[in-house]
Amino acid sequence: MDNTEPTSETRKVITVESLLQLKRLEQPPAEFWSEFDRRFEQKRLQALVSRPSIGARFAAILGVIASPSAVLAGASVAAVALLLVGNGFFTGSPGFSPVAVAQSSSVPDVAASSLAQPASTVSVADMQAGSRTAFAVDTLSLERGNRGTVATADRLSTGHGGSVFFATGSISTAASAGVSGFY
Amino acid sequence: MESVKTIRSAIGGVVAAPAEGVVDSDLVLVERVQAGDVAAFDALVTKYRQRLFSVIYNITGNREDAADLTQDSLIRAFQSISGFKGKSSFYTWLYRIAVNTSLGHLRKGRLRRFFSFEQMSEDGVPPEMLEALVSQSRSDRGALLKELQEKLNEALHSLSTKHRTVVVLHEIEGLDHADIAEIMKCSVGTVRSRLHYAKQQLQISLQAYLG
Repeated sequence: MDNTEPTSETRKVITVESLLQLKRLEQPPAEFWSEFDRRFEQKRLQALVSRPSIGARFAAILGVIASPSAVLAGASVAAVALLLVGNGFFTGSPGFSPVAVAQSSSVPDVAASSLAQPASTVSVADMQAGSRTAFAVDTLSLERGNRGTVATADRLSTGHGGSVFFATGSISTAASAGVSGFY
Repeated sequence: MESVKTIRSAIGGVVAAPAEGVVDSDLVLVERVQAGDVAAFDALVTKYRQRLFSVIYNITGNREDAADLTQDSLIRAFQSISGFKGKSSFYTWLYRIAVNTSLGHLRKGRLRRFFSFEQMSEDGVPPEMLEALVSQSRSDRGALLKELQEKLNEALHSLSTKHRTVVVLHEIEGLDHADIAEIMKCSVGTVRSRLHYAKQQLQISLQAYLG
């Protein structure tokens, strides 16, 4: 092996830049890319089917809630809601009476009867009678005591109970579709 | 100086930043992906996977990590491509995702600690450079290249991640200072300063090969 001292020409040839460019030669073999593509496809499918974790979604919600505009908007809505509910409660407006709701002829039988008894007494047969009715009973029972909400639930169960149920389903489907679409 | 330029052009592999027409075709593909055409994203993957792998590989120094992180970067790009507004070129946006993914993993210390380098082929080394290296060494060509590869990687990994990233993007990937500044979200001056400092360090580390 020749072990002569490097000449000035040699010094010109070998620079930090030219040595670094030798790194371009470090390329994986062709077969590496087929395995790479296979793994990438797997990961992409996983990303498509997986939804954000509860923690991530909670953090996202918190992020929205924590924004100044959201806080301001939330506070305004809460103030207006309190004013309306408080006004209705103290003045005894019929629009906010749960009794009026329960006695309404438009309430389905099961739903109406559930207002007169605890939610736990609703029979399995009643629940199986249809998801629409079960949803209405459940909603009304759960929300009993909150006057404004009961009135809302009554409207939903009598007029749009099915829509509410399916709308709920649609929201979750839309969320999934949103995630899928995003990916 | 001419010989250095010849060596630069002789070393193939990863090339510099895409030309303008290529950037335009990227935007067409991006728009297609944004309109729901997944196959268009596959075209972008095929086009950029090797470059992204090269960047991440030279930042992390590990082939397996580089493969994982390249895939993760591409998934991230796919997930957020709807938010790409075209304010920067697609490849700088993509490189930015790759660099951030790599640096994030380096910060978390999740990477494998051992290095597993790709084999450097003798075929790609310019003959005059190889001769010059051999003339300074007692080793044969194969052993010399292996040793040089190890020393190069050792020198590169003795730099901080920020300095290493700038060196990788400029000297190995051939990106210009402005693109690197865009990718690293810093000023062009900072890029130049980091590059200057990093080269000084590399000059010291690789002194034995520089003659």
